Amino acid sequence: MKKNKIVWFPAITMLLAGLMLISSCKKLKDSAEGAKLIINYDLIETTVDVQFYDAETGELIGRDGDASVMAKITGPAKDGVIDITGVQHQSMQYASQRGMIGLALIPDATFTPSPNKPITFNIVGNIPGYLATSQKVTLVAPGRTQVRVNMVHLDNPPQGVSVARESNIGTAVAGRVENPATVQTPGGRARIEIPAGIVLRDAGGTPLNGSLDMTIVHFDNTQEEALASFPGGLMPSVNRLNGSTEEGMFYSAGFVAIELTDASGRQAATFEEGTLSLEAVINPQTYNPETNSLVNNGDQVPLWSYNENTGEWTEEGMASIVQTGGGLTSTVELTHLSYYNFDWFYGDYCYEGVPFMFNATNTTCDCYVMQGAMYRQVDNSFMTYVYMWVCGNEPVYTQYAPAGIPVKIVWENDYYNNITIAPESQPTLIDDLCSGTPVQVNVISQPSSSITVEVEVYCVSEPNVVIRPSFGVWYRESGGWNWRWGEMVNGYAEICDVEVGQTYVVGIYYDNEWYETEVTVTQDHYSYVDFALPADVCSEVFGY
Amino acid sequence: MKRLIIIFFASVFGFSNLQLQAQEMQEERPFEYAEDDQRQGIGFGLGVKLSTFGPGAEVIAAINPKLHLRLGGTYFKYKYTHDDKNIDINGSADARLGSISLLANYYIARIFFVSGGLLYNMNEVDLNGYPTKSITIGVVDVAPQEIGTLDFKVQPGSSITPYLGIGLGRSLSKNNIISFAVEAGAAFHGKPKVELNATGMLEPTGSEEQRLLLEDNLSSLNIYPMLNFQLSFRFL
Repeated sequence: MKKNKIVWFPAITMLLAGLMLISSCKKLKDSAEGAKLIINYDLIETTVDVQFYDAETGELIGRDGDASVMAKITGPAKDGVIDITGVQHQSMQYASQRGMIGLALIPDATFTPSPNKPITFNIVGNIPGYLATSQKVTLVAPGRTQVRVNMVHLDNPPQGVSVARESNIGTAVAGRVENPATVQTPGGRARIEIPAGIVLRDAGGTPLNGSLDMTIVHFDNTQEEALASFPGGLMPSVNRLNGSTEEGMFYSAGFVAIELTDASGRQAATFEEGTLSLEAVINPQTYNPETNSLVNNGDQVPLWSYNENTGEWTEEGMASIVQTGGGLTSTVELTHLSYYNFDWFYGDYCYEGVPFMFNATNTTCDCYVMQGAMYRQVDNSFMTYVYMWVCGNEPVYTQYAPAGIPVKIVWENDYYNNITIAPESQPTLIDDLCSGTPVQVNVISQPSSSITVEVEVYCVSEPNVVIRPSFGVWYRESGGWNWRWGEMVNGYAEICDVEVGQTYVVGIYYDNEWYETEVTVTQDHYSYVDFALPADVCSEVFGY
Repeated sequence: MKRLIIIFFASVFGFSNLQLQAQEMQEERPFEYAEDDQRQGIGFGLGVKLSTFGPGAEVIAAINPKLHLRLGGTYFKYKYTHDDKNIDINGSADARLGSISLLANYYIARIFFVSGGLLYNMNEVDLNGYPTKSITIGVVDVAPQEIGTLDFKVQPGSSITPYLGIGLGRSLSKNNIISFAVEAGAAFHGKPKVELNATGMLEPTGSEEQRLLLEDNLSSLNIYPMLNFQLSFRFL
C-alpha cells in the first residue's frame, strides 16, 4: 500500500502539471492572435508629380478620363525613375491619368539628388492631336517636386502659337522630293521651303515615300502662353558647338516646331542633297540680353535644334536678324529636321538657390502648396512655373535657378480657399535667386478646417501583414477642376483646406491607372484601416 | 564507501527508485542517527533541485518536524538561434528561467506536504527577428537595416510571485542524510508583461496598441506551473 501511494501521488502531480503545461501551450499558441506585422511603406524619398495641361484651355489633358498622355522618360537619370510604388516600366513609358502621373526616384545613393549631384531626366509627352513636347526635370534635393507640362493642341493653340497643318504638300519617291513646296503658318510667322530633289530620311535612315504632310508650329516668345508651352522649357541643358554640355537659361527670340511625315507616318529627320529653308518672324519686342535692349536689325542670335524625343538641345550656329518687309526675320538653312529655337543662352546658375520663408498669419495645415509663375524683371518674360511645398516655418529652397538675374514671382491665389498671398508679397521680387538672402513671403491664411486620414492596406493573401502606405493624393471639390495635392506618409495624411459638408473627389495615380472616389466630408478624421489591395498590385509590388 | 555509492545512485536515478531505495534503506537504517525526536524535528541541510524554474539549490531548515523553511535559487538560460536560409530571416530566442524562493513546507502527513511562499521570479522570454538580406519591392532594394528588427519580450506581471504547491517526500530527512521530494504547484505571477520593440519599416508593429493586444492575449497565463524534483542532504 505504501508503495502504491508513492507511485500514485507523483503520477497525479505529473498529470496536473502536464495539464497546466498543455493549457499554457495552447494559450501561447493563440498569443499572437489579432497582432499584425505592420509595415511603414515609406521607401520613396523623392517624388515628381507631373501634370499635363492644355496650353490654351488650362485644363488637365484627359481630365474626364477620355485621353492619356504617354510620357517617356529619357535623359541621364532615366534609369532611376520609377512610379510611386517602386515599379519601373521596361519601356520607361508611363501613361497619364486625368492628366497626371506620379513618378519617383529610386531611393538609393545613385539617385539621391543633392546640389553636388543633381539628378536630371526628361519627360517627353506625346498624345495624338497635340504637339509632342518635353520637360527637363532637375532635382537637387529629396522631397516632392511638381512639374507642369503645357501641351499645344494643334487645332486649338494658345495665344502666340500659330499652327500650319498641311497635307499632301508634295511627294517623295525613295526619299527624293519631286516638287518644291512652301508651307507657312497663319500670318506668315514661320515659313518652310522644301526644294525639289532633296532626299528625306527618317531617324533610322529609311527614305520617306509617298505624299508628304507637314506641320509647322511657331511660338511667339513675347506671349506668355506661348513661352509657357515652349517644348523643353526655358531652363535646359544644351550641347554647345565645342562639344561641351552646359546648363542655364534661354532668352528666347522664337521657336519653331516642324514635323514632316510621309504617307506611312515616317517622320523626316535628315536631309541629303539640299537643305530646307526656314524663315521665322522675330517679334520686335524681343529683349536682346547681349545689347540690353530690344532686338534690332543686324543682331545675331544663336540657333538651337531640339530633339523632342530625347529632350536634348544642340547649338547649330548663329542666325542673323534682318529687317524685311514683313518686319524682323531670321532665315536659316536646316540640315536636319527637328524643333528650332532662336535663343540667347545664359549659363550662370546655381543648383540650390535662396531660401523662401513663408510667414503665415494663422496656423495653417502642416504643409501646403504655394505655386506661381516666375518672370524676368527686365523684360517681364515668363521663365518657369514655381511650386513650393511649405511645411511650417521651414525654409523652401529654390532649385536650379539662374544666377544674378532679377526675377519676380506671381503667386496663384486660387489654389486654396483659405490661403492667399499677402498684397505686399504679390509679386515677390528677388534680385538674385542664387544669393544667400532669404526671401520673405507673407501669406494670409484664414483658420481653415482640415481633416486627417489614416490608411492601412493589406493583401488578401497575407492578411496579417499590414502596410501603411506613403503616396501623393489628389483631391478637388466635386464639380471643380482645381486638383490640390496632399501627401500621405506612413498611412497618415492631413488634408488641408477641406470643409465638413463638402463633397470632394479624391484620386491617386498608380501604375498607369487612376483610382478615384467621391467623399462627402462629414467628420474631421477618417480611418481606412482594413483596405484590401487588388491582387495584381500585391503581386507586382510585394510579390505575393 | 557504501554510502557514497548509494548517494551517487540516488542522484542519478529517478524519484521512484530513490524513494524505494530510501525506504529500503530506512528499513535497513543504513544512515541511522540517534533516535532523538528533537534531532528528528529540527535540522539544517542543503538541497539541489531541478524544476520548471531551472536547476538550482536550496538551504533548508527544519524548525520542527512539520515545518521546513526553504531558501533557494534557480537559474537556467537557453539561447536558440534560428537561421532559415529559405526565408532570409534570422532570429533568436532567449529563454531565462530563474527564481529566488523563500518557501515553507508544512507536512500534513509523514511525507505529504503543502508548500507556500514567495518567489522572486526572473523568468523572461525574449524573441528577436531580423532579415539577413535585402528585399526588392518593385525595383527598389530595401536593405535589412531599413526593414528593421522586431523584438518581443515577455516577463512575469509581478516579480514577487506567491507560490502554492503540494509535495511528496522530505525536503529534509528526519533520520537520514539524504532525502528526496517532488512537488507540484503554481506560481501566481499575474498578467505577463510584454515589451514589443520594432525598428525601421517595422516600427509600427511595435506600437503600444499591438503591445497591449499581445499582453491581453497572454493575460490568462497568469500562473506558472511548478514541478520540482529535489535531492537534499542533511547536515545537522
